[in-house]
Amino acid sequence: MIRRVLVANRGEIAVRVMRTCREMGIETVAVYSDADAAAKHVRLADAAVRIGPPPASESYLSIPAILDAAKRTAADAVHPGYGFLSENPEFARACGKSGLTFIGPPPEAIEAMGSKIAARALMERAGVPIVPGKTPSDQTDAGVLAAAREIGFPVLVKASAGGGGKGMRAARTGTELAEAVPAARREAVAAFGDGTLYLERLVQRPRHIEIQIFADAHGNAVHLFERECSIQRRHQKVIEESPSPALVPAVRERMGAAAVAAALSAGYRNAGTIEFLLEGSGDDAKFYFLEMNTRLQVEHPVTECVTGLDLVRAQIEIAMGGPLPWRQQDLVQRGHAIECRLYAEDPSAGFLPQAGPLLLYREPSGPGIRVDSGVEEGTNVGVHYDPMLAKLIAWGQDRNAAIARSIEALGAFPVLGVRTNIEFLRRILDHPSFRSGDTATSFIDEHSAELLDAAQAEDAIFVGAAIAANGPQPSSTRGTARSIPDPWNDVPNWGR
Amino acid sequence: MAEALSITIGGRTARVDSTSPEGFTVDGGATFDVVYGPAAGEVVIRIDDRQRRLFVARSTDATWIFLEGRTYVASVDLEGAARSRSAHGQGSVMAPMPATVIAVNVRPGDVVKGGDVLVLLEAMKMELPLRAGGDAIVIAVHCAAGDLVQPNVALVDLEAPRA
Repeated sequence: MIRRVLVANRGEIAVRVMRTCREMGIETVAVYSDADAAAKHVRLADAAVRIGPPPASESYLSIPAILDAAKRTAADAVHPGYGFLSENPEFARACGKSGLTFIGPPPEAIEAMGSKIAARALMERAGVPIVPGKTPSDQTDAGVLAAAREIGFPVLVKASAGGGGKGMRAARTGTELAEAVPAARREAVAAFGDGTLYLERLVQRPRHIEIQIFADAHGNAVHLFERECSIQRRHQKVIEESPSPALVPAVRERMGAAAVAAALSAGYRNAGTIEFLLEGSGDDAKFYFLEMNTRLQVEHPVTECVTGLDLVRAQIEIAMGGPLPWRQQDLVQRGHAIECRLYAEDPSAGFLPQAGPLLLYREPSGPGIRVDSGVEEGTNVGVHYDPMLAKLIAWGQDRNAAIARSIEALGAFPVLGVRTNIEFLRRILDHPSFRSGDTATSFIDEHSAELLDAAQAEDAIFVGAAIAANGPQPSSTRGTARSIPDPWNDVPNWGR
Repeated sequence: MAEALSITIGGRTARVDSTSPEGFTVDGGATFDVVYGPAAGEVVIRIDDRQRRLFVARSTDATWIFLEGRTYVASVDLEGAARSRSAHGQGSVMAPMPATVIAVNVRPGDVVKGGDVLVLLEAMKMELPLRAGGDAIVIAVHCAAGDLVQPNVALVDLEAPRA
């Protein structure tokens, strides 16, 4: 029985996990760094524990600090969210040794899937197709280059230890590789504490399609269909949807069956995602195993919307030893869901992350609209963590309806004080190639000119600027276009 | 009423006059009527029987406008008022955002070529190389590895190479 869950994460995913815990009558414990002392996830929890200074390596990545927080608050389970320690087998193991239920897979499964060599070997044995690649045994620059020549250019250089695109770079020539390797290694060390690099052949014009799976401790496994996540920049996902416009039922069934077979052969338990690259579409589409993510995904709400299920609830039930709450034949994909990730970034400046106070932040609502966020008006967007502000998920009866809802909701999602990708997202959704389902991981690069073309400001924008800058003071019964102060300025001893 | 404002957004500069607390003209055109919403920052403007919903906010150094999914940053000057610009000349390389310095690749006196990485920053787990905009000589370096640096502060001063 789980009675009190410590959520070892921050931001929107911590908020989202806590919501389900509260629905289930389970108490929640938040952890926070000094940068997050007043954050939404901290205020929503039943208890909150400071775990360190702002750098993640000294707070959200500190296993001793998190275990200590769990002990002090008498938590009996830990939900790791995504990122941070979620795919760290040492953390899962340490939780077990401390008598805490880790809401996720067993450490052995994380370990097996975290090592790309072991994961590929496992997939090969399970009959799942794989992309050519290897972890060079000689990790020097020369050794990595030799391995790349063996595999054949173009290659992708990745952190062997992690996912999420951190430290990932493409190289088309030996010269490009020589430039990519030191940076990839540094980012791998910074993100995962392990600079080991992995190389694989870059599949041309692939789609990124992943299958959500769930497995219980009683030998049962099911898949919850696919998510297409082809719209990416810098190898980070931007828009995800389900169903994929490229999958015909027969291919979907084959991918689902492969994913379930993979999960069972890995002795997997709880929620996981098998990522595939898809080449082509229709009946002739070929899929290749990319990697397995042994955690809840950022884009899990897309699956929740089309299946009508709560994946976090299922994670908790399975962690308590219960059987899978569903049989495969009970699961259906209904309608179409699209998730847009709102980032504090400047698309016209190479997607440079932005920092600053959210002077104005209003979330949209309406039929079929869901917003998962960890920020609010007045939140100071800092430099220490991922620049994702919120996820907008729109559900519609079909793909066109979901696109229309997404575009409309983004147009009613004002965020001021930092530059965001809202307009960029709308342009992707409205692009003829996106609308026709012609998506590949190269989509943003292929269409960047149209997606980034700067719009000339019309007269109405100038009126808005004048109102904000020097507008009249309306009567007290009405609001005013005043500036909203950075709340940090008014709270001198708030530990920043 | 307020003085005329000279507002620049992107490549366009326009003069905005307020004819009443709820009326504005742009470059002497037709009047936009303004209705203020109940929440701070939300306004509706009307012209020719058509209305549009705007969100606006102001910080110490920028004015922000959101209209139908598009965000603009405006610089606003009182008409004719010359406002001081950036504290540093074009010869300085600055951080685009708060960041940590990972490496400084140059020293005063170094000759650099356009595209050379002068300083390597890290913010939000991503590396941000600061490159020379053209051939130049480094005249001063104001940061070191490990420093937390702020935007709009010169990190490296450059001057044109001697012919």
